[in-house]
Amino acid sequence: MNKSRYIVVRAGLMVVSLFAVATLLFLLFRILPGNPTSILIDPGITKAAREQLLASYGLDKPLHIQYFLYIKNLAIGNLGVSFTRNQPVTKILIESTLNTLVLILSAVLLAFLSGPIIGAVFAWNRGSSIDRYGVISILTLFAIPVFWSGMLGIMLFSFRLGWLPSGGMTAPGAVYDSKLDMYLSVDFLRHLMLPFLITTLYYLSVPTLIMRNTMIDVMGSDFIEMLRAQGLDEIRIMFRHAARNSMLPVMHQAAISIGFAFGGSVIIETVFSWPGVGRVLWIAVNNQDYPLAQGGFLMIAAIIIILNFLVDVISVYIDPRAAIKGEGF
Amino acid sequence: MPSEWEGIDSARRSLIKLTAAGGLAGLAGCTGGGGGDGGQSPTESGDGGTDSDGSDGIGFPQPDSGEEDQYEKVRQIEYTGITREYSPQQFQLQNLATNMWKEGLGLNITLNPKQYSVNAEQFINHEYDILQIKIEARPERLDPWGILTYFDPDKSDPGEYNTTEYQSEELNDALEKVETLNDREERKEWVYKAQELMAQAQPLMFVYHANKLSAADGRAFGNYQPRIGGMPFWNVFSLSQMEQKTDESTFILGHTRDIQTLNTLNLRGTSSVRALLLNYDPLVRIDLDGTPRPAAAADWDIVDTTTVDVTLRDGMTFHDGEPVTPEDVKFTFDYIMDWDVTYLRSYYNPIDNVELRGDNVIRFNLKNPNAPFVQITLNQIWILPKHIWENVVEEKGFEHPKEWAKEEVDLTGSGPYRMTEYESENRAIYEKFDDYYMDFPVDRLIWKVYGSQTTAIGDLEEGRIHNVRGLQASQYERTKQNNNLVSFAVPSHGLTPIYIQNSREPFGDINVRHAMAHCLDKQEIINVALQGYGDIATSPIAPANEFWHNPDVPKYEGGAETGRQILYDAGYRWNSNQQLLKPV
Repeated sequence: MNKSRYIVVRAGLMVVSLFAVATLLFLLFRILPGNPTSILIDPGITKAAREQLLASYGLDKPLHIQYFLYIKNLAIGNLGVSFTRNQPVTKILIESTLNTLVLILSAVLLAFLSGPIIGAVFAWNRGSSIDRYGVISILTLFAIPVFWSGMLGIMLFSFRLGWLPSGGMTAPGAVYDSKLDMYLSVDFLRHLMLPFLITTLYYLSVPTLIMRNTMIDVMGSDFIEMLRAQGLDEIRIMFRHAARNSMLPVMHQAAISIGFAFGGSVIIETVFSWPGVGRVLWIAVNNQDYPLAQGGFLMIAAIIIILNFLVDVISVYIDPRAAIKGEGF
Repeated sequence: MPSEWEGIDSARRSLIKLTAAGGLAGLAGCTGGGGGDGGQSPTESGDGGTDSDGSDGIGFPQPDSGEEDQYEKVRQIEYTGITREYSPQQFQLQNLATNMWKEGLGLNITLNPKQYSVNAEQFINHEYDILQIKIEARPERLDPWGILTYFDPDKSDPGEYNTTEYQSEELNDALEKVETLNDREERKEWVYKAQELMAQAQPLMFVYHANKLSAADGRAFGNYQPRIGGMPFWNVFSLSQMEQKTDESTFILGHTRDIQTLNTLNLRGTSSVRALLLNYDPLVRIDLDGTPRPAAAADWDIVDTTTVDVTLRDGMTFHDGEPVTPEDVKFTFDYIMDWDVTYLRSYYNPIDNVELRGDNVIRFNLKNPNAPFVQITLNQIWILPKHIWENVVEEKGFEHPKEWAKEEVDLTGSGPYRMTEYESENRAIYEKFDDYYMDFPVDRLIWKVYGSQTTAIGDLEEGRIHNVRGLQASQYERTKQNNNLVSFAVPSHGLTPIYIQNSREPFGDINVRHAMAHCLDKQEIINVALQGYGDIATSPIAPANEFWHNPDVPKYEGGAETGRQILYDAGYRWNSNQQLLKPV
């Protein structure tokens, strides 16, 4: 009973959050100085032409009408048409997000699969040289800005050693019959390697450290003492009991990290010339392409919010105590 | 302490004293104001302000005693700048200019770099005191009207391009002649006159014409002939003269910007124009030195000041095999005019109607005499296939053909390189069209979008791509050292000015503008911001545009002292903080 109520409440909060984000985005772009026509400087574009252009974007209507249309369209899943590309925003987002997902999702997944294992090993060998040097290395990885490690990686692996390409998804002249063919080609995998490596290293530190710290806490608890007293071997205690109980914060962090990875992808995509959603959004903001920028940021916010919701739901099943704690708000 | 310690100690102390003294002297020099040598001090007011001591120069004369209340401080001025990310060169320029004017003339200027879209909006609405913006070297600006149109006093309302709001009957007349006279030599006189008038009036500061720096691969290709302006090799003349040195027949350009649109009816952005000019064919193309050449037009004839006859070349086909006919040409102009394509409006505006005269002749009837018609209009509007475009709106249910989305539009044209692949923010691939009337060694062109210029240069050095343009001076220095690459510093006809709002005080006073022009050390700015790769600008038209450039216009090389002298003679003074005062 507690569980279902908890889930329903969480779902309601999710909808409210999404609505709030959509409104905020709408206002933000209209508060920003400038408008989509201001960067078009050409003798052919007279004042009348600018006003005409603004009208065609629907920007000449009063603010509350624009807002109403915006929310109405959102409710039916219509994100509008991009000012600069004249294509439905949804289509643009799907294509570019796919490219980003392949890179970011796989990197975050690997980071969150291997990170906890490394973190667990550190925690278990707490105080030893593995732990000390390991933590220092992980912290260093955490501190290095991803564009710097990216450029170092390019310099070393692409320019000095010549092993890997310097960027892009495929060789410049390579043409494929379908997107799937491209994703499965050796060419693509070669191009994926370096950004994938750099991104994984970048996201490795957080799950490692969270796992380590949570496990150290867990290891100090009574039931671990009990298991030891029962005679269970160390490896079993470490993985089967200590680690499992430490997974929850890591999972929550995974949800958050995937969301942030979308936001941070613009840097990686710029360094590696990867045509993903980060770059598309960055360019949309610079060109005042409101529908594309709004739609893109809303998508990222929605992903974060939904993922968090899912993690909340899953965590209730893994650790029923969460539902009880959650009730008192 | 042992004696050697004392020695070292005292030596250390004297070193500290020396550096301190030197530092203080340096500081004193700075606060003493620029213009002359550092040790200058303001002159006293007792003798009326003029300094009779030649070696110190004019200084910053204060009002005569008793007359201080006849002056008030000139207001605080805002310099709307550009961000460093958008243009590192202009960022440095605006910093240097601000300091030169503050220290040299005592102007109270605050520099505010702003995002380009904000900067551009203030520009369009004329809402600035001083503003930093650049006029890019587009091919149509080689014709003098292409650049002088931005200074047309008739277009001074907010929203129009004479944003300085400078007014002058004489300039108006001169520009009218520039726009309408067809005879080249006659026209040249008026182009010269317009430059002279503008240099005399200094409605804005002409700072420099930056060189366009680029590098290309010297191993796979040779005989690079760059065209004046940006993207030096992305045109038929450079491409047809290129030589293959290996069996590499794909030429790859690394660019940091994507092609913005592919739909001619929704055109925007210089990169789109450059990209589509290879896929489509205009009637006239601009050669390496800026001369208009026959392209799809075999010939043209200026029948009279408002009539231009163009004879279409024989035997041309579109990429799908259909012949290119005069009907396609007429259709293109009618279509664009009917659907009112904003970006192309200034080009087709002069046209009243287009007739077919038989024998492959197309007649353009103009509303008014229009001198740049051949060079600009016939170059910027390319031939669209009638059989593709005429029914598009009904068949696809659009309200306007511009709705045909970027990646879906049918690109069939008659140009030498057909765009066969396009992926947004990634690349565009062109295949050579064998039935074109010119020959090219390169079979395939690729426009590859890079997120970072440095990576593109790295790839160029590795031989993975063949051309990078828009280099910064430091990058250019580096490519010059590389023997596998050929580097180019091409003089450009683009103009980097500093815009001044003439209708705001104190810029309405020509003496202030002259003083500012004298105070601006343009060579210094070129040396710092461009590392020397540029020409001083004295008028809107660059020395690189040889035929039209007027070398004999007033230049303002007197320095800050001359500037202050002019201001002094016009009745301005300075307060004890060397800030400019104007007479009330």
